[in-house]
Amino acid sequence: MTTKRLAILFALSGAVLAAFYYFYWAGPVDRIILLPQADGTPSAVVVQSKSGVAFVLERPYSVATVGTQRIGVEKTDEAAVKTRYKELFDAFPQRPRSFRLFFESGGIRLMPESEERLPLIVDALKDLTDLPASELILIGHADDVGSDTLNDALSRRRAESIASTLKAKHIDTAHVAIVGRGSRDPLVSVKEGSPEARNRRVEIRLK
Amino acid sequence: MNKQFLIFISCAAVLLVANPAFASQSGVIKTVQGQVRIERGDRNLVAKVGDPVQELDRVMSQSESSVGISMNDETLLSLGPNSMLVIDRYAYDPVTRTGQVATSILKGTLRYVTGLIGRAHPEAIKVTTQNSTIGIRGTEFIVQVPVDN
Repeated sequence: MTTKRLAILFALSGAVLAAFYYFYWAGPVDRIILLPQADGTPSAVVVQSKSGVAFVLERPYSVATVGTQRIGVEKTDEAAVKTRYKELFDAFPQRPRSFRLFFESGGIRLMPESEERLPLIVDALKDLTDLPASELILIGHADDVGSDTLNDALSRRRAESIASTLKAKHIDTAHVAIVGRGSRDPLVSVKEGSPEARNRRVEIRLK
Repeated sequence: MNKQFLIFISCAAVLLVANPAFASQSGVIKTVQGQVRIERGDRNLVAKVGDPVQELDRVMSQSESSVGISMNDETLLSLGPNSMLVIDRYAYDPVTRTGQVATSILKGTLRYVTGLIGRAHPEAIKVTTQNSTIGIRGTEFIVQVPVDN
């Protein structure tokens, strides 16, 4: 009787100790929470603990808890995350806005439709560039006609031409960044070396 | 060609290249709430909206404070209260969209949205905490590290 009681007591205290160890002695844990992508595409993070154990978070709002001794997984939801980490959402920078203008082949002349759209874009930019610490980036692109060297230069010239246009419309271009990406980043893939109006463009990004 | 204009342009170019703050700018502070400081070498700066952040900066927020940062490649970050973030490595080539982003969160909370480097080269993005290393696959996430870790 006494031995049985002792055994139960022993087992119980063992369980308590194990729980105590698990929750306290193992130290505090880092929490890594996967959020859904803004555009809804799937994403994942790979969390690797110091001891070398790897864990993949694939579902939005799954949580990896990583301590010095252990790595675990939990679940949370949008409401809980938005409450608990409110400051992170409030402080988060605006996502970049983007506008596209398309060009005639081989030069810096805008396509008629883009010429027509330009005043609307200018109006939108006027409001947005007033935001604190806004940055304007002009990224020029070329289609796949011509050599890479030529297209790198042409894409840059397109971006520069938009910079002068915006400046003429009284948009603050003092800190504008100009990038020419040549034909590296087509909007639509076409047969190598063929002309494509949708790839001759300047992307105006405001962040 | 206007000679004065040419002189002006060359001076501007020299200033632009010679200015280390411009040359090594990795990102810009977009939002500040409360008290946020940047430790840069042996300098300790008050962070304001529009200030640059650089490789090796330590960004620290006090209690009831937070900060939002946009990196050159459009990686977006926010830090919650009582947080400390180190930009261990930042390199970005806007033409090829290649580079490297390594940050450590030493305490507090971090929201992280990967930018243009991560889109094509997720292996170039790393976030480290004391207990773990986080690799990404095109991603948004939050990290919370206990203050007394």
